[in-house]
Amino acid sequence: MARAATLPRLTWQSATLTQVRRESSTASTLRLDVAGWPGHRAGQHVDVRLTAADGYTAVRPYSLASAAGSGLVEITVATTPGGEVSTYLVNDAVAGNHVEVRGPLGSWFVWDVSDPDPVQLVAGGSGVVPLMSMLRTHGSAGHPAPMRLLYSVSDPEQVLYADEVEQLAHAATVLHTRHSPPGTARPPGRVTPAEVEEHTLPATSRPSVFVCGPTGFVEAMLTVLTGLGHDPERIRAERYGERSSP
Amino acid sequence: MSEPGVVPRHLDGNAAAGALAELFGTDITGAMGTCTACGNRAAMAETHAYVDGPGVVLRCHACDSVLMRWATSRRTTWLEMSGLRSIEITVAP
Amino acid sequence: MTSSGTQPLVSEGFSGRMRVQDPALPPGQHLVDRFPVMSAGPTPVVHRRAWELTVTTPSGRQTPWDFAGLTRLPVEDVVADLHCVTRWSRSGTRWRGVPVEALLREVDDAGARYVMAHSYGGYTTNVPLEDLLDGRAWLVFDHEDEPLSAEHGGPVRLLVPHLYLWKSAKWVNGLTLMSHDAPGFWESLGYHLYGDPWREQRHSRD
Repeated sequence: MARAATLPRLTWQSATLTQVRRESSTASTLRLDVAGWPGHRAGQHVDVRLTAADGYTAVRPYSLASAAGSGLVEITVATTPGGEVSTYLVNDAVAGNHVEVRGPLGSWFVWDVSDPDPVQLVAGGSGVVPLMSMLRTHGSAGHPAPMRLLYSVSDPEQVLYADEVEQLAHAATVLHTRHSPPGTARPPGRVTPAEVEEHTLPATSRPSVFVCGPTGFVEAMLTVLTGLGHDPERIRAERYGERSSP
Repeated sequence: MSEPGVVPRHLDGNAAAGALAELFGTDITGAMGTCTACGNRAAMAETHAYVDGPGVVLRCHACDSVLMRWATSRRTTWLEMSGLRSIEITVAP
Repeated sequence: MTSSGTQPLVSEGFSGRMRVQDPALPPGQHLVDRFPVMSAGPTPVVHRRAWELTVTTPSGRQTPWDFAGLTRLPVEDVVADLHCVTRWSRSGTRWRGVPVEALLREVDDAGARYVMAHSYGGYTTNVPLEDLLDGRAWLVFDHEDEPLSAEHGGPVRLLVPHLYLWKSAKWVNGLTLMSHDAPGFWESLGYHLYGDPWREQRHSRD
């Protein structure tokens, strides 16, 4: 009898919050202690399940922000209006609380240090979270190929990982859509095709491209990037919705 | 491809990774699926996922046909995948 | 340590949204302020002047309708409570439209007991014919005094407020009369063939 390929089975694991850090007025990073965590790849996410005392449960996916190979399990959560899970995780949860996680999940929107090519990252809002995992993985590995970030965000207060983004210096460009920091020449507004061209690696350098953000932002960026000559086969996208379920 | 003024509402198959793992027992977002209607072959992560309704619907990103759809009650899952001609699941090394 | 199959782990301080039963609502429902958008596919964009609907009898006879023809029928204002199977409800929503029975008055419905509603984009849902008669169902085109938006089912959607909202097909373009019941898009995935929110008929099983 032929031996069937053995697929790793995914189940819910109990996890303890060991640290909660504020990232902005509306987002926090939560560090989780998960027994037997198998490690993750940059770009992956976990499902988080919360259970109330009466048995009510709610499940939401959150991207991992920590570097692959770091041994750390950190997610960054931004509150969504009326979001019962995000509101609890950002505003109420404290170290010592328990949640359940399932993952790591996703084997498509991932970047590994074994990829020798340049990398262009394009983030809209909290879409920067899985891309930060890639930047941290890239940085801690001392990867020789360039990795650049274009980060569209509503206003300076909403910038996640502001210190780390600043340390990236010329490898990161932050563009504001609603309010610009004082003293900047660029008026706030949506990222234009010309700005994408100016602040990203040229298509001729054949970078791997990762785009993450709200669906409308991702759709717009895919159109711009393919228009600039990027091979659609080399672009990977992750959309997150303004969840409409109450 | 969407009309002006109409907000696209889909996510990626990646967003359904956990729910798919519940059905298949493992992460299949990197598995390659072939659309029955148009023959397009793409990773399950590249499908368009509609997750807000009574169930989950995955559509072909090339032709919008339904590839897979499923719904669950307390004890039962109903799964329909006639729109998916085949799926290739490779085990990670 | 896995917790699957055992008692789930409680997240300290998590209560989730309010789950207090409101006696004015069907069981398991809670009121929301916003009007959530639920979709199973891309939003079709159909202009009123291009909209068409076909009524098909069990014998296969077809009657086409366009928007001008629809609005020549007696128009009614409707105030309705909506109950979505995903557990949200809205009360006192206002609509303008035409009772479904006005479209069925002239057709030969001999032998018809059920109706399959069809939509642009391929959605379907089944409803007993009698539930579409006697002023209990409408084809609506205005919502809160505005033309019905595409994301909420415009230009024309079915409104059957006494059943779960998945029965109120958005972007409706066909009503097919049938002698026997058949499941539509969600009904074929275990959702209830009838779907009465007051009897909590969410699924056909458990």
